[in-house]
Amino acid sequence: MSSPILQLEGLKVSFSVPGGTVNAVRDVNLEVGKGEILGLVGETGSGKTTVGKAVVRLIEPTSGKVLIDGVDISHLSRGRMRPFRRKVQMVFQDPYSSLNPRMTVAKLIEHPLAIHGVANRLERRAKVEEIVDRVGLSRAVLHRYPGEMSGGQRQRVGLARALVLSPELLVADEPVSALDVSVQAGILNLLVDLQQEMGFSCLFITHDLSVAEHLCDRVAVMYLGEIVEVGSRSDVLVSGLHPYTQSLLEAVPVPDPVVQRGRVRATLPGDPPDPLNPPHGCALSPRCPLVDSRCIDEHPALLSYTSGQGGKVGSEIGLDHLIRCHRVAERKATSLVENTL
Amino acid sequence: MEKLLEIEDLCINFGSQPDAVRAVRNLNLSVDAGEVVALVGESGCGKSMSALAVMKLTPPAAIATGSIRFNGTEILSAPDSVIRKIRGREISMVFQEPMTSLNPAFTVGDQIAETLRLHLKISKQEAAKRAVELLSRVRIASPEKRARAYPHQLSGGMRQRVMIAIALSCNPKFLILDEPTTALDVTTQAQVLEIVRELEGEGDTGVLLITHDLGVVADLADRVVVMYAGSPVETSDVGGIFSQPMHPYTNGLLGAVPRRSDGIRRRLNDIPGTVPVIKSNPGRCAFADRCSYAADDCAAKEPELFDIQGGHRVACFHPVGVEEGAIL
Repeated sequence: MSSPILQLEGLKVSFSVPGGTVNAVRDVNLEVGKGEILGLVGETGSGKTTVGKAVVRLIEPTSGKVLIDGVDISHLSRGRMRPFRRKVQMVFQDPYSSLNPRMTVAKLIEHPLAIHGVANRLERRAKVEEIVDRVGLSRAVLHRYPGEMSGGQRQRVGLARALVLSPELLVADEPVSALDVSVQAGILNLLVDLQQEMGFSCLFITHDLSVAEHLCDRVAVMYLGEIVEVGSRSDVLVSGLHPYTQSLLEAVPVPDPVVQRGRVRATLPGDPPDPLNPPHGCALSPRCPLVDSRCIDEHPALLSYTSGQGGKVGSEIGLDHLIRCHRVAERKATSLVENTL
Repeated sequence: MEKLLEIEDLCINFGSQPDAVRAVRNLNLSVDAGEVVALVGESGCGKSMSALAVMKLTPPAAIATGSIRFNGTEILSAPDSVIRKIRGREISMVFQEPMTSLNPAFTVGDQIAETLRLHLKISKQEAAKRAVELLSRVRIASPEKRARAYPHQLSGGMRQRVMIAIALSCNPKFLILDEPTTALDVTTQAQVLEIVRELEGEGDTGVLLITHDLGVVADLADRVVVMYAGSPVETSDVGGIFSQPMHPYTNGLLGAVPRRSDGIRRRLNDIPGTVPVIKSNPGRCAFADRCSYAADDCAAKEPELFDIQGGHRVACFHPVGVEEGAIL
């Protein structure tokens, strides 16, 4: 893999709340390669949105590094941050509240160009028209206000606004979750096309595993502020090994009654733990079907299971398949021994 | 034999003629005891409005005509005193938003007990005891403790299970689930679906399930009604809808869902355009503008539901996979 556009090193984000400190993101290490779409999946409260916001510095990391093109941006001043803001753009979940209702579409999309002092007004207008064509909107919408448009159209405006600066990294936080499936399909197709044409990298945050499988090259699964499994799309979403990944995969209903009704359903019991008082050992231990005493006492490390290096400490990130689970480690160790015998 | 719930020619309009917005047009639907019927469609297709009409909870501006018969009672014309005895007792509803449909000022135990006390005329102690039983029935851990909690102290999934506990409190004959899992995470959704499946297995409660999630439909429904722009466009048992979708809209919806374990990155089928707002009588197929199968006759007349085979009914002149001329 060529040098990554985004590297997160030991990223931690904590919030003070009444009653203590919530560690929303606990020690996240992650890379997004150039031209790659990395899916960050997890459920409510897993910290995936906080990671996304830390990448664009809408939230200040408590500790750790956020490297864009090899430069740590986590402590840059406003002025020195500016060129990086141009490289990294964000699309938000809610197409209703993320567009200023008092600006026309033309203004909304031109705004980032004006802020970054790109070209003169005429050239900017040409750029706006070009990107509007690219995201599949008619130029007639340029003079409209967001309130006059449907959710799908607004999300296209959101995409156009982010992509007009030709960013190197797009952080997309649940961009299709608020949309109906037929509209969602259009936006996902568009995202695939634009990514191929423009070649940007993408950190795609979603709770929907089917969307992640459809779109992403690599996938990272988060639970209670940490990454529990990361690897290629098929490593994680087809042959995922972490018990949490597996229960997520089993929980997604398949739109086919014959298949869906024939499935073995192992529902993960209980609710995610209180983030103010996380479990001492493995974060999943109170709900995990495979739990044993070691899981309760000892916090598991993220280990690499790429073929030929079973159980190595996952310091080298990249194309590895990494899993944070004692039980997987034991199972792998046993099968390794069996193989050598 | 009379069905548990029978909806005939239900129309719901907003505003006065001739400019009335027609939110629901000529919906016919019946649900038997022990049956799960899914009402499927995208935002604005009229599915939630239809469900509210069954509870007689449509907003004051809505004008509902037609007939909704529940267990022999005509709901639309029944006086409020009759409705109050049915609502919450014989028909109950679980709403989509577990965040806003509970009262933040009362404990969840009190809110479950309120329904019980109102309908069953039992003592406070008895109601409190049953509230705890109901919480354990919907698999809430340490129910005695949770009964004393306020809604904000519970997670979204737990609140939705409390809503289900309230809905089940009086053993209703009929349950309406309006997008019961839409606001929930997949693992929580799986828990809620399991509760509904259990309920389905143990009794003869009729269920009207409103959802846009075809995975949930595949999991729970016996029969499916697909709605578009206020009117039903396809209805069949659940197998028929998934194995042989005939209306181009149903077909399009199924193609729009990203599927797991594809391996390859298949292009999704998007349906261009938006759902039209229907005023007066359209006189044409409401889907024609977005339909790739549309022909001249689609713009001349609005198709009606037509039985193609064994109860699989489609409102389309050019159903997918059916030979031209098969329909007269």
